[in-house]
Amino acid sequence: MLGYALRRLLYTIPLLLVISVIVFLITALEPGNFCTPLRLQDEALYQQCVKSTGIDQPLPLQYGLWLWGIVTRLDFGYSFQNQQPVLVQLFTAGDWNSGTPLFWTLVISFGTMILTWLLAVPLGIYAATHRGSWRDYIVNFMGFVGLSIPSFFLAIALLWLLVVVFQVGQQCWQLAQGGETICLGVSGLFDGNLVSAPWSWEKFLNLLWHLWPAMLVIGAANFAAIMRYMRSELLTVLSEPYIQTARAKGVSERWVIYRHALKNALNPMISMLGYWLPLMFEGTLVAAMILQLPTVERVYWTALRQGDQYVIMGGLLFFSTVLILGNLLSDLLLAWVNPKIRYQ
Amino acid sequence: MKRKVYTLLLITAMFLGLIGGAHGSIATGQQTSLPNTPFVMSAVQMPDGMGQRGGTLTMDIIDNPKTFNPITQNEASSSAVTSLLNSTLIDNTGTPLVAESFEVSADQTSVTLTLRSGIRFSDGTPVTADDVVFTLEDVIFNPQGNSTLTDAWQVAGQFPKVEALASQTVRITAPIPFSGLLSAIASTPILPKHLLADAVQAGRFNSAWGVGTSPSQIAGLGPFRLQSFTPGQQVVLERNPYYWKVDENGTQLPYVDRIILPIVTDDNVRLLRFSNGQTDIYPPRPEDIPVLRQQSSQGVSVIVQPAGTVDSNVVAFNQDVQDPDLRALFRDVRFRQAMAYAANRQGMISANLNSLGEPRYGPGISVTFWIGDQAGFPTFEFNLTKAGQLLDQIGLTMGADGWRQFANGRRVEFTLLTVQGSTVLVNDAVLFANDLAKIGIKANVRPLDLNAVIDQLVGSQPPQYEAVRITITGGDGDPNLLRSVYQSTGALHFWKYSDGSGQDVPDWQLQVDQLLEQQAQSLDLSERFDLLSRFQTIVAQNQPMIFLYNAQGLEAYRSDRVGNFTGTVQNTTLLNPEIVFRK
Amino acid sequence: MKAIIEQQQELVLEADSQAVAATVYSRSQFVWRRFRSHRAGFVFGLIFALLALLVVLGEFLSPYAATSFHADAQDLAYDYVPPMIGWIHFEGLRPFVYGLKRAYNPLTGVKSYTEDTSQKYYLSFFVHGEPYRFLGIFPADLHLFGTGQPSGSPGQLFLFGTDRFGRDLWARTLTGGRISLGIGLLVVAISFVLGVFLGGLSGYYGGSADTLIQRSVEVAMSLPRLALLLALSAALPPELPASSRFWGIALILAIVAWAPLARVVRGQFLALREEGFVQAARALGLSDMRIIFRHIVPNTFSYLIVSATLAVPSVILLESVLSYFGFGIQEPLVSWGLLMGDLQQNFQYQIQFHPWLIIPGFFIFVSVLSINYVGDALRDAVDPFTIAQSERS
Repeated sequence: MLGYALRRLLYTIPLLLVISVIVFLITALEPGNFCTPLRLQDEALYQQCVKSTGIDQPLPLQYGLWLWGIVTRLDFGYSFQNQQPVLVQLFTAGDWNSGTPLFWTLVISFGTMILTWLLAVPLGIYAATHRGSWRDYIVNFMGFVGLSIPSFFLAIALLWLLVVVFQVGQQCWQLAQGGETICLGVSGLFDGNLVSAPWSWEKFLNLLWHLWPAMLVIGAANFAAIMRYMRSELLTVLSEPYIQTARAKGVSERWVIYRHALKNALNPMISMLGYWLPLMFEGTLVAAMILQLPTVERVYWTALRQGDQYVIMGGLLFFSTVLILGNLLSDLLLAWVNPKIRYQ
Repeated sequence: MKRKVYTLLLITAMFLGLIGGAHGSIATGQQTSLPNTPFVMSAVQMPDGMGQRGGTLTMDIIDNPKTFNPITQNEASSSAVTSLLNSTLIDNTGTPLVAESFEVSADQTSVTLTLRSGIRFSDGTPVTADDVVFTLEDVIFNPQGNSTLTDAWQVAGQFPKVEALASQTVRITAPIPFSGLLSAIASTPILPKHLLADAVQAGRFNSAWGVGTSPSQIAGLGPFRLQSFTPGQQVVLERNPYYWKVDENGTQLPYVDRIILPIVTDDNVRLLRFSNGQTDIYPPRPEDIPVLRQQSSQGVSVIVQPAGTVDSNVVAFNQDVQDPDLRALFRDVRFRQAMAYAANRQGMISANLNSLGEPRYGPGISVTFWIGDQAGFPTFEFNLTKAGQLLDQIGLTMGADGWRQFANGRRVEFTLLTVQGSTVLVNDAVLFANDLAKIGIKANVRPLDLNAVIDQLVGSQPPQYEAVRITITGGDGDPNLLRSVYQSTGALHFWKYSDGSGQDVPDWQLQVDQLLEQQAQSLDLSERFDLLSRFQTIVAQNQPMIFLYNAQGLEAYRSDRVGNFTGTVQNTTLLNPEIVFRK
Repeated sequence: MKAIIEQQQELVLEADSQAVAATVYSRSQFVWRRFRSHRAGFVFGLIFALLALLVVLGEFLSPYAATSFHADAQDLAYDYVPPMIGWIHFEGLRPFVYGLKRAYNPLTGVKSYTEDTSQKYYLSFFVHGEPYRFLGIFPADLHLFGTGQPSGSPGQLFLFGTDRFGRDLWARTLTGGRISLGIGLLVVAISFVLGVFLGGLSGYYGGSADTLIQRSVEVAMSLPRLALLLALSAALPPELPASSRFWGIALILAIVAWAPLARVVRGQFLALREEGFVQAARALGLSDMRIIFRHIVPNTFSYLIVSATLAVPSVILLESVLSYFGFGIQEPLVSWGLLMGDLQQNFQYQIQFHPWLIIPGFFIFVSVLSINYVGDALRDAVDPFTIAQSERS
């Protein structure tokens, strides 16, 4: 098992290498470059910018230098825009009180995933055990609705509802520390100056208030998929002969479902965990752009608009790595829950 | 099982290592410290009278600042912050600011400035003549510098000489009489030598005061100083306890204790946050006005200012385009006049500006200070019949398919570029193309990425595009800034029809070149007015660019909470931030 | 050969003992019956068929073209006219609308429209109007209904209202659907061909072809979809006109969509390769191509159809996300995502003063919802083993 895992891990290296080439080419294909807007100010500034960023060098050389930096120094290049290393820009800019992009990406992605599973799995079981009834249809329909609303629309409509229809801005309270008055806000992660305030119970509650729309937007599409998957897995297991046997022996339905069927239906679900993880990261992209979440995805989006080459490449590599790791995790989990699978 | 736990812990530790960034809090021990002779802000300049101290202001900014360096910053989201942190010796009306007084020599070559005694940077360090010398000699005049300010200081290819006469007195001497000397001083913020000398010495001033810098290492002379920056979330500024302005009561300014600038990149979300009461000030888009007027009972006030001419909204045709038919057509002044007739300016203003704008027919017409004499100034108001007649005159006959043809039978068709993502530009182009279709001209609207548009406009010689709908920014205060656009040798002269050496240039363009050159050298205001007015008439007659409209300036703020709000600077940062107070 | 396939069908039928007791159906009949019995799937299938019909016959069903600007006789745009569906009146059985009258709200400065009851404009069927190409081929100028009034007259019929330029939203929604649904089908078709070809090659031959294709599948599946799409569509060559851009977007979407399909196909081929009837065909000396396309593909087709159907909604949604952020379809083409982008230009203003602009979003929602239901029903229909057994439980 360990050997298999190691081999798979090693195998990701050539995979990432190929992806790095693709990522580099895509970035190089984009019209203009980071310095182009300077042309509207001053041609000399533009030339200076081109020279200092090295984007006038031939592409293979640029790629080679970039790769060399990564391999030898774990240096993914630097942000032209902010004059700081890509790793800092994408992942660690910020401090303990306000969190960093990587921190928030992990919190939001994993948080959404856990929440989605906590809701979707029981509902899937419920739908399966009430197959064909109106309850099953309702749960199914809800799932499909979540799947069918464009996430960008859900995000902006949700904010509009909160502000204009529910007028959450009228809900104000006094902060315990500092005595400042704060009202419920939308977008971002905190209200008022809680962003840089030290962590407290209030700050945490405020964070939760800002997290739920994000989780709803990200989770809506995946919720349906997980729920429906759970439902069909459980239905499959319930039709297995050994379950029929148990039923025939007069074991109570509840016992059959929770003691026997569920365990076996959950196994393939667990192996799917890895496949869903990258979906969460992808969902965060749209949510972060509209809900102003300070995540890696938003840094990537900002860089994309500004042509900040190395940050774009770093971001794409990061998302690819998440995908690969997710797939790897899935394969390992699958092997773990199903010993029949051979490690080739 | 145990092994698994270890692995998990290791992974967590790795993430924590990545998550933990630099700590960035500074001590906020405040002590009031004014210069001996503070600047007294007259109550007349305060629309709501003198305010009281305290409170927080919140205003969203549209992106992360890229740097806190006021010299190297070159875009709005950085200047939104740095303009609140820094100040200059004098302002552009000649009022002394950081300097207590100044004196211009009789021959207009040198300026002697005396700093306010006891004035300090926002970190408490006294300001001396050395800081001024450092800012100019070591930073601005430094050949490694990377700043548009450098050009403003150059005269006859040389920089002025800067010398410290005493600890508080500086003299700046230009090699020849230099009319731009005061405006150069007025646009240069004074930097603290003690914080930046090392960076300059090491040749890395351009990357000094980057966004990762600890706030304690940044100081300036503006009303606020940096408290914290959280990338992607917010910038927090606190009052500069050493600020050098007081109101008539002797209360030290600024009035508010803190300005929070959350970073909100989405236009819709900024409006929603303002509607929700999360922000106090919001520069609205034209279509926000009806929404905001609905909220007037909730304390939202809207200010609609007269249309400004800072931006030139134009359609331009590439007169050096490769296609010979189109090139001949675009060089024909009758065609450009026909295009000017065909632009439904009111339609654009109504559809895109929610009727908050006014049509424009030439460079800088309406409210600029250099308006000059309007007699004989031609306006080509929307009139498709006249446009059609002009096209007939040129000899573009209407074909059977409803599109006009060149003499050789080719259909008159061109691509109208515009900037993708800028909805107003795209919508203008779509409307314009629709009206052109009515007179038989086929314009294909193509929105492109901004960088691609710039490349097509100025990235190669001659330019590549056929026609473009674009906005040119700047030039309201000083038409000198537009010389690079209007003069045939200018770097941004993107419609060309000249080979740069002055060989192939049309007469009217030669006149424009000459007029702009003359007014730049003139020190006599009325002479400048006259020259510029002739320049405007020529441009309006020849329509090298089809001018469309001026948008009205829009501001919104919560008048139940904010006093002395006097507007924003180009929608990015507060005007007169020191007098704004919290009700 | 035929016998072998029939044997397959019998296997299928045996799985459902009740069905065997009744009649013997062919496999497609059987699938169709099962699909029909999935009530929600069938209903949504009908809804989708209706949508598709609306979209295909768009120009005929709308009185105007999607790109024509409407204005009054003074050339003032009929912008933001509210939906006139509720403004259709009847005189006996004869439908008519009143003329449009413009009004301003002085407080907010927003335009509004009321009915000018002084004049009636009767609606008629099969009116001649703006020329168009029926089904994109035949020149025509016949529209199913309309007032038949010339442009500039106040007697116009904007079923869903108009946008900021006075363009008919009903026409734009129908025309936009053609691109939104079309791009979904096109992308799935491209990735389907790619997926079947490469996946089939990989699964059937194995060996180095398999390794190579599998590696490319892995690379393709390791690319982050949305992040990549945003980067790629910015990289589309600027010379591309709007119509070619459509193909570019479709191609980009296909690049990220083919890999999962190829994987499914390969799995199917791997399994079928060892089946008796393939072995038999091989023993008979049939060519590889013949085996693949005559014997294996038909047997995997049902699974592929299901996978393809289930892939369509995500493509439609992705296109709408791209267009929404300004990276996708561009004027003068219309797609639902682009129309949603119009709404998003100023969400609060539009939703509070011109809420009808949300209608295209509703169309995205309904079409994605119905394709999902249809796909789901199809899956149940062609995958009788698992579900059929559980049906009895």
